[in-house]
This record gives sequence, structure tokens and C-alpha cells, in this order.
Amino acid sequence: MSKFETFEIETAQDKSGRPLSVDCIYQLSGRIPEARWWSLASYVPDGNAENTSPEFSMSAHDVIAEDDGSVVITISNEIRAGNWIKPAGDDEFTILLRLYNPVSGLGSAAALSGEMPSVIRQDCR
Amino acid sequence: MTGRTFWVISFVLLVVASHLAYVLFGTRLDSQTLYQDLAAVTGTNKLRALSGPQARQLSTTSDGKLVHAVCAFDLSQGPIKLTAKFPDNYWSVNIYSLQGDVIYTLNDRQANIASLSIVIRTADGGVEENTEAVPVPVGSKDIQVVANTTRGLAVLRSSFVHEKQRRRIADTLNTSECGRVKS
Repeated sequence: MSKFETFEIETAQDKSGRPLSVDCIYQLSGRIPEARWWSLASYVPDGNAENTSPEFSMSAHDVIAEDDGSVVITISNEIRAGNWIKPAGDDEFTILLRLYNPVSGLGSAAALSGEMPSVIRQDCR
Repeated sequence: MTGRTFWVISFVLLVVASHLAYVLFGTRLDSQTLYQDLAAVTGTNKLRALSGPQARQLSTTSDGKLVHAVCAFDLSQGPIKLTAKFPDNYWSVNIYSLQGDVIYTLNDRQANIASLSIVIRTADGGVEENTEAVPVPVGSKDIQVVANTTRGLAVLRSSFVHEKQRRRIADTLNTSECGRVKS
């Protein structure tokens, strides 16, 4: 059993290094690192708000995966068909991925970062 | 990490991360303070589901997709028994020493059952000198966990699909057992 039973992985930037903004639409795509269970949620940057509203988060229970096991999740203020979460706050936001009982040792944070899905900006208003 | 999303990785919940190349932001907690704070709310040797603000003591942000329950255990008077039942969702139990070390961890897929029965004791039976030892029943089918500490935390998590199920799980955990092994 892994000694490290929970990982939290956070990003406040898209793939190009730009801050995540509620004014934009993003697509998070790729494989979630293998774990017994995971959840993904958007937060305001201070991260202290209790974010329990269902539209701001998604979990291994909710997501509909692609045929190859990867996921595609849209992040936007407007509701979208398919996997979708809403960005938190009214300016910049962060995305937090929690992995519970990760399967691999994940002993190297650098190795883990290579497995992370991409967050790509699609459009902004 | 040119052209790649810059993910910040942290390890939470009393994990010792000293061997990692880096921890970009730390959510390490003072486990002694955490024990005292939680025991003040839940009492010792009692299992209680945590509210959102209480669960945030375990992490800087509470995971809205999980119910958390905690037993701040004290083995000075003997071993304790932890039992709980879960729905057919993800669940896990993690037992920590006061130093923050993970003593034991188990999830639903490893256990392959929807209920839990664990006896936590110290190597010497968990009793102070000159007190009567409480033996674990012969032939017990409970999982036996030997702790290197007299006090620590057992943290249980259960995922839920909808709000009604969350309340049901919390109620079930509140009536679950975390107390001295009965002789």
C-alpha cells in the first residue's frame, strides 16, 4: 500500500501558462493518474472556500470517460453537454485534482506532473 | 515545463513528504494540534462525521464529494475497535500516529467488502502498567492494526452520489463504533 494515500494537484494556469479566467472556456483532457478514486473541483485562488456545490466539481463517479480511458471536461460559466464544471469565483480560479490511494508510488512529483491532463483555453469573451 | 500545464503538487493529511524532490506548497498539519482540536469536537474513542468546516482541518479545502469521519483514539486503557458500514461506493480508512505517520490504510477495492471492523492496539496490548489487559477475542475476524503510538487519528472517507446519500452515510457513520474492546 502506498504510504501517500492522498495527493492534491493544483493548477492556476492553462497549457500556455496563462492564468485561468472565468471569462474563458477551457477543455481539460487527458488521463487522470491512476488512483482508487479522484475528484476535480474549481476554487477561488485562496482555496479556503468550502466548495461543495455540484456544478463546481466532478469525480470518478460522475465522469464519462473516452474509449481509451482518458477524460474530456469542459470548464465554463455556461453549462455544456457532456462532462462540465463551472469555474469558481468571478475572476481567476484554480483547478484542484485530488487522487485518493494512487496506484503508482508517485514518489516523484516531477514524474507525476508528466502524467497530468492538459488544460487548453478554447475561447474568451 | 515549457508548453505544459504547470501543476502544483502537494501531499496532504499528515503525510511525511521528506523524500520528495519538492513540495511546491505544503499542506502539512501539526498532527498533535489536529488531534487536540478534533478530540475537543468529537471526544476521544468516538467516531463522528465531520461538517465541512471541520473537514477542512484535514485539508485546506474540503472535498465536497466525500463524507469524512474521524475517531481520535486513545489506546492508554486498552485496544479499541472501529466498525463502520458503507454503501457500494469508494470508501477508505486511514490510521495515523500523532507524528503524522500513516500506520494503516485500506480502501473498498482492497477490502472487497462494504463494511469495516478493525482493532487498533499497541504492541504491548495498549494498556498502561498496572491496569488489566483486555484481550482481543480468540478467532477474531477483525483486522488487527498494531500502532506505534498510544494516540492517533482514524480518518474514514466515503464518496456519495447525491445529497440524500451523503446524509445517510453521515448518519450511519455517527452510529458506528470506535470504542474500547469489550471484555
